[in-house]
Amino acid sequence: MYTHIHRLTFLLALAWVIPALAADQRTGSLTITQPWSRATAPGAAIGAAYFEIVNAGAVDTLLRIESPIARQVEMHTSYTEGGTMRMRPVTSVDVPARGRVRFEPSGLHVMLIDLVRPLRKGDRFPLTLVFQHAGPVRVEAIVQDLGTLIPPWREGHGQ
Amino acid sequence: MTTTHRRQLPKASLLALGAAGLVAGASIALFWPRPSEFRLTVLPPGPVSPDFRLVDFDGQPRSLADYRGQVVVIFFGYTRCPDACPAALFKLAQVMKRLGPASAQVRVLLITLDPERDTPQLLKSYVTAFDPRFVGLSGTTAQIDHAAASFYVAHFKAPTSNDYYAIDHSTATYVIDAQGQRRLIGAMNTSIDDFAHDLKLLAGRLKQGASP
Repeated sequence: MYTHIHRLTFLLALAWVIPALAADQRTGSLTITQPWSRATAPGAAIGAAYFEIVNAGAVDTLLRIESPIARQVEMHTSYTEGGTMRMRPVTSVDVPARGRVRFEPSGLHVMLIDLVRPLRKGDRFPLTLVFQHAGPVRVEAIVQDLGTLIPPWREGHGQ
Repeated sequence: MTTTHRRQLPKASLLALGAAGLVAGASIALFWPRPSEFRLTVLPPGPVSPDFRLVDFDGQPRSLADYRGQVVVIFFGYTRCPDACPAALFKLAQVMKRLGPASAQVRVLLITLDPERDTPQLLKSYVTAFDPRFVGLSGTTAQIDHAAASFYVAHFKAPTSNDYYAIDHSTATYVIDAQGQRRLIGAMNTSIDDFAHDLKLLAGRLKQGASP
């Protein structure tokens, strides 16, 4: 997918790796890696955000997500059924012991409902993930290009 | 007698064989299912012709017939769609760039499945952010339902909280030829290359004035 822009994004990825890694947030046994979002069209009411939670310790549960970027923040999951993309709210997400949970397009995602401002490529905004045991973990999401499905640092890593 | 008979028979049968061969050859050439020259899924004409009577984001009434003579690419979505719609529109914007001059023969339309929340202004700022040539269409719920049904597009409101709902919908991209016939269907994972290849084929025929 998108192999034609691969060479270009490889170069971009190099430029992204350092700030992207810098955005990783570790709290106790939990690491939230590379939170990202997507630029929105002017006037668009919603945005989405993604990240990966890596758990080096015991099981924990992600209870909710907060962000000043939107008036309402929900966790949703998308899935395709018979050619139809469906979306359902998720009340909490279990993070297995020594396991990982990935929020990604067409899967689990953070729904930023009623954005307070449009998201522009390169912008950063805070997300606070509230865990049952680890408590609140604050991370910064980096806004990628409009329409991004795979962030530059994941290009070529196979989906 | 027998010799002439023998001479005549092969002659006649050769002629008949030749004629039969010609007919068979022509039939095969005409009707043999060739591997498709298109890379997207080719759709046979269905019992229901694709159509719509909607309003564009500038308030102009629009039907599919208004775009006759152009290759029309249609995606059904909504502006509050988290990733499928922006990904599809972004990809189509890349396809238009790839098409170069041939993109003049291609019209990309987003038909909203969320007429209640997608105001004309919002539709306009949304679709034109991907490509200034893209057009957004809306209408009454009944008009949208009719349009979706003629493309066999499924869509359902799915409340996610008290004051928010998502819309479950088909994520296919439809390609209508210059005669208004449903021709091709693309999926979320159809590449920019494959879209550009097929649209160029359809647009190229248009330019030469050949029948598609």
